[in-house]
Amino acid sequence: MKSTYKIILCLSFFMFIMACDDKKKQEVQDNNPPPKQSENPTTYQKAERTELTSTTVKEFIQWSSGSDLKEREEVRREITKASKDEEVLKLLFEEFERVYIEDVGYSLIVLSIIGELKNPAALPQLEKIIYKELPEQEEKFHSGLTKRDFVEMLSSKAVECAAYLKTKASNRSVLNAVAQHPSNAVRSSAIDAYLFNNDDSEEAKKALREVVQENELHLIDRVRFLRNSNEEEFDRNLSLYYKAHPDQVAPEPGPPTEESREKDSIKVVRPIQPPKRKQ
Amino acid sequence: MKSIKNINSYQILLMSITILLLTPIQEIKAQCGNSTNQAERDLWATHNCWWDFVLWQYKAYRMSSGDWNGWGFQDACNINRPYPKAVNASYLLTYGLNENLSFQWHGTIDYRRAGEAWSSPNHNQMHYIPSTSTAWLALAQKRWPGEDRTQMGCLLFQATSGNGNPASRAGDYVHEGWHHWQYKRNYSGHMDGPIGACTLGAGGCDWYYWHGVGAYAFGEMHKYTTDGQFFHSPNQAQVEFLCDVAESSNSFVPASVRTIARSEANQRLANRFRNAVGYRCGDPRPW
Repeated sequence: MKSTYKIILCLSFFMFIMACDDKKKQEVQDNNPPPKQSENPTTYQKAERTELTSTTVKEFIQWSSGSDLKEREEVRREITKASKDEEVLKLLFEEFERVYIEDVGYSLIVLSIIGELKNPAALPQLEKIIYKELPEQEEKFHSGLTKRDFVEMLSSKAVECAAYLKTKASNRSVLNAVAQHPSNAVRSSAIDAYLFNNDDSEEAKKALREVVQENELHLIDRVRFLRNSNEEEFDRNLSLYYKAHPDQVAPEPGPPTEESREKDSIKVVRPIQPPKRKQ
Repeated sequence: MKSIKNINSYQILLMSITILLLTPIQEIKAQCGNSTNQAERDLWATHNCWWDFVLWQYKAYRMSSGDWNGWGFQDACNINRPYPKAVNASYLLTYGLNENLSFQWHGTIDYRRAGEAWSSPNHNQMHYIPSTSTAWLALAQKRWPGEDRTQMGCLLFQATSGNGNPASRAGDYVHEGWHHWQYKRNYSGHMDGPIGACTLGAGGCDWYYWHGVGAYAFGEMHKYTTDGQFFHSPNQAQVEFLCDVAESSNSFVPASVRTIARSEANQRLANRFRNAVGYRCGDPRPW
């Protein structure tokens, strides 16, 4: 009995100290001095528009990577002009291998250019990327992406590039990935890319049904969330997917296990609006 | 004088805790890399450390000099440092979406409420602190007594980590913010996998509670029903944000940021949910 009292006393004291410490911290935060400007602030300029040639590959990657949405068609046009340039293709693959998962964003851009070139000669190297060895899945990695995720993201992009070639060999390659790639993420991309590049036709769906893993048949019926799509049409098609596959609807979460704590237990700061961005 | 033998274990515990709490914690210098990746530089080039925004951001995210000194708080326009990188991600979250009322999962106000630290319909007031941990990406912590907080791990700032880009970091603001949404309402976090379509391990999986793109008015993402018709899990909120960055961004958002946002959204759609989700983000045309 005595020891229970002592434990309670210890815990109360501990919580009292914690509360004092937290109150002090909160006061410090509420009177928080602002950050300081750097003596030498980093500034970058958007890269100049450039053509895609064997001597400008890196400059082109820089320009296209930083390009905004209004420049999308312009980037596509420049890539198309270099579609038969084998040297450009070779240099892009070298750049991809040099960086790979060290900078996933950069590598995705390089693959996007490779894919948009639509050069059938790219297929063997794309296949090598699609089947890069997958690292073991890391355990306990709350909210983050793992090394395996990054390899899968690049392999998924490569399978989309292969599908965009739209040749017999590339179609066969993509269907192989649908059937037997060890990653569910890559198989998922392959299904979508095959459908997209075969006009989402019934024939394409039939070809997929013949090879897709049985527990992934429902992936053929997914819809695409695309810029400026029609809201009603998207919602109708998404609803049809869940009607056709009711086993994919999440169960009811139900009420929370304990009473909710709607109110802040501490003094709150009034929000202020962010400054208006100059266009 | 009391003999040391007379001091029992409870008193030792009490003294240890007191000493621990009263000892000033030495500032841990950031060991989270000192470089940037392509997407970071591309986004930074669109504002180049807009100072009015920096002066708003540290208040909105309750990032204090006490916690962020040594992490770039005193060098706030050096994009190689963690704190300016946190600012860069906040910039994307605050201005990145074009607010397409007819085709966007949720409005900027919804994602801002999730990410920003002040008390909102989404969550109670919290603050952000940096951490040198690489065992996790970030951690939302429910604390009592005191203020809830989110710890931002090293990998969010390491240029080569894959998670260390502004799209992933902004997505993580939303993800952790949604844990705080759960804390406010006493819902539990992730479930253990692998399970169903989720290939992750312990604490890596969520349900996806599907809804139409027109189901929520902007500003109402925090609302929910216990039947799951209106409900979000942390990965779901994050994916919807990333998908909006990819497909409903303002024109200024660079291609590298949109591309990695789409790629991460689809990766999470493929393997973070126990149930298979009925859509893909974006189209698979390479460019």
